[in-house]
Amino acid sequence: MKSKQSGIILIIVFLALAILLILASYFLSSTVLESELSRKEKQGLRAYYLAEAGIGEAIWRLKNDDIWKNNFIEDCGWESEVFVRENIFFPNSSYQVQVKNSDCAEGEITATSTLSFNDGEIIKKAVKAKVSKSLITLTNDSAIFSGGESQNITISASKIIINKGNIFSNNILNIKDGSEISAFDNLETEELEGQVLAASNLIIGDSVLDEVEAKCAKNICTEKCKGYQIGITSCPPDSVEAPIVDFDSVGNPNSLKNQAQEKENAGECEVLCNGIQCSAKCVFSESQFGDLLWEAGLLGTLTLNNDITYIDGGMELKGGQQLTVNGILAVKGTVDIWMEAPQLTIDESDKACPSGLLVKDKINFGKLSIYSSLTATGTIYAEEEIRFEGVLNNFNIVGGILAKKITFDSLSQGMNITLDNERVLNALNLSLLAGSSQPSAGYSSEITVEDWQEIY
Amino acid sequence: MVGAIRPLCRESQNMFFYIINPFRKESGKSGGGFTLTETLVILAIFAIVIVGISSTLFLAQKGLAEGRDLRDINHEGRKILTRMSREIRQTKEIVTELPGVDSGKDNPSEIEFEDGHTPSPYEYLGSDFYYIRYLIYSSDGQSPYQLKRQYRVYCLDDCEVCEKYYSWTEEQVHPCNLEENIIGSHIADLEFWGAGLINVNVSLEKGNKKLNLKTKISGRGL
Repeated sequence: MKSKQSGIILIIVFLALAILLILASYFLSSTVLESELSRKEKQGLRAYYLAEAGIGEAIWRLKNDDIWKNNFIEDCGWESEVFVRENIFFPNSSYQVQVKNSDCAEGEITATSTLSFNDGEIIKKAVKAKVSKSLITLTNDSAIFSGGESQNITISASKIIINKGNIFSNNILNIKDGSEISAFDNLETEELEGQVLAASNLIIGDSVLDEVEAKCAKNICTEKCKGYQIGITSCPPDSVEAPIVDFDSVGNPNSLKNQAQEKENAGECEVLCNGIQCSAKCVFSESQFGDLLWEAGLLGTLTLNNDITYIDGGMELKGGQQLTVNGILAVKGTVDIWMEAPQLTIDESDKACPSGLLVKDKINFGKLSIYSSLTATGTIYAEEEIRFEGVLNNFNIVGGILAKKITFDSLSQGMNITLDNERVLNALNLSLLAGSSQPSAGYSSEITVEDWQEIY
Repeated sequence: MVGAIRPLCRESQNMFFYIINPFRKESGKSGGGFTLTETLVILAIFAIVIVGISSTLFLAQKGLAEGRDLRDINHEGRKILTRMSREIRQTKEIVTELPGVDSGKDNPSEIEFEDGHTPSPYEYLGSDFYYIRYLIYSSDGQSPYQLKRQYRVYCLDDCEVCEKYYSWTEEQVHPCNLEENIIGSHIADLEFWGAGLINVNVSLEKGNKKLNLKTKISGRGL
């Protein structure tokens, strides 16, 4: 009986010890595991920031290395050489980086870092970043731009709201008679938009410009103007000549007329009168186009489904006539949109396709009309002058307005313009006169990082 | 009390006493229990096992604490560099004069730069220039440091009455902090150098665990 009791105690003691040993070894192994995980995390972190250093260096080279800078902008399919940096921060460490363009001035940087250890362990991390450069336009990011011989902009008794763009006059900008101007910055770009710019004087008479980012001219210089300093009252922007569109040069196959003729010859033209095809032409004389408008009727709609429609003369849209342009309407003469309630709609949903109203002479919009309407997704351009007059019912533009001289008179119902540089450039680049200043002044020096992520 | 236990319980009672005192000799009998040698051997084994287990537990505890320290500084390091990189990447201008190459102990341990993010959280002030400053700080000037982030503007007037704000390059202006926050701790060293491409070296320390992180940042407007 006694020996049996001793055995039990021994077993109990050994069981207790065994349990304690199991617990201890469990704690020990989990501690070792935790410690190993923390160590791995530490090395992973060092490797990650090493890879980020590679991305940082690549961005720096895209801005400062001439070969990289040019290739990134000019060669849309460019792939840089893989450059490697060794032992740059830590012994036995390296990173290698490559840039691959997806388009001109758009690409992806991939950086892979490697940390090697004496026990043969190797840790690698890879980081990708999408980068791009934005286009700088000659028109100074201006939704309303005048640059040419007359160069003035006059705004009288009008309410104008400009989103994401500036107003630029290459000479005098005169805002008067109770006008209200608002201009707002585009928060997605580094450049400051929402500026009122005049290469000469900015004259403000009995008008409100409270909601603008900056006023920069020969006679005024507010804080956000380029070159602003305390006590300085003059900081005009540089003078800029407007690009000139080639409407009808015989020798230029890219003139608007020749391009429209080529489309017509290829059978790619379609004009609808109230939804029914009434012409398969792209090039019209003034009278031919006038006849089409009358065929559509006073309250009917003429729809131009052509990439380019060219009128070899002027155009008059009046009464209740409604014109829808799904592309470019190029007019050699003067365009008058007036009397009663005409409607012009320029609509192109595909941003890559040029759209707008390009006129070689003048555009007179709204005279003697009360319910005129203009909705444009594209560029309104006149080589000479654009006049907007009278009370307008609906006036929205996504794109820009460019001419040598621009006048806004009595637009008391308001006019909304949202700058879209891409649409402006697409329309102007379609056909430029030889020797014209280029609408695009190149790319921004800044690199925009759109996406930054670790890859596995 | 023992004598009061009923006979049926006698065996159980012996067992109980044996458990609480296994070395006692049973009365009236010789050769029961353990010899001194047995007792000493048992005690020695018991002591070795206890020491072994307790040192294992101690090691485990120490390892856990060290692991926790390493995790803490990993977390701090990531947090600090992520925030700093994001803000330096957007900047237009570096205020602090940085050496072009790594100058070891001469590298500044602080950096100030213009905030490139728009809109600024203090946009309502109407300033065109907002600045961010990172610096290390400890009450006794010794490591470990805390990392402070100051958000500031430059004024001509006293900070309390300042309503007009300027670029740091204007003459006679002085900084006014709009906010000051501690955004990191356990920092042993912080260094910046490089022109255009900013190099950052941050060392962290907690217990006997150390972490050194280095990277390069290209400022958008630099």
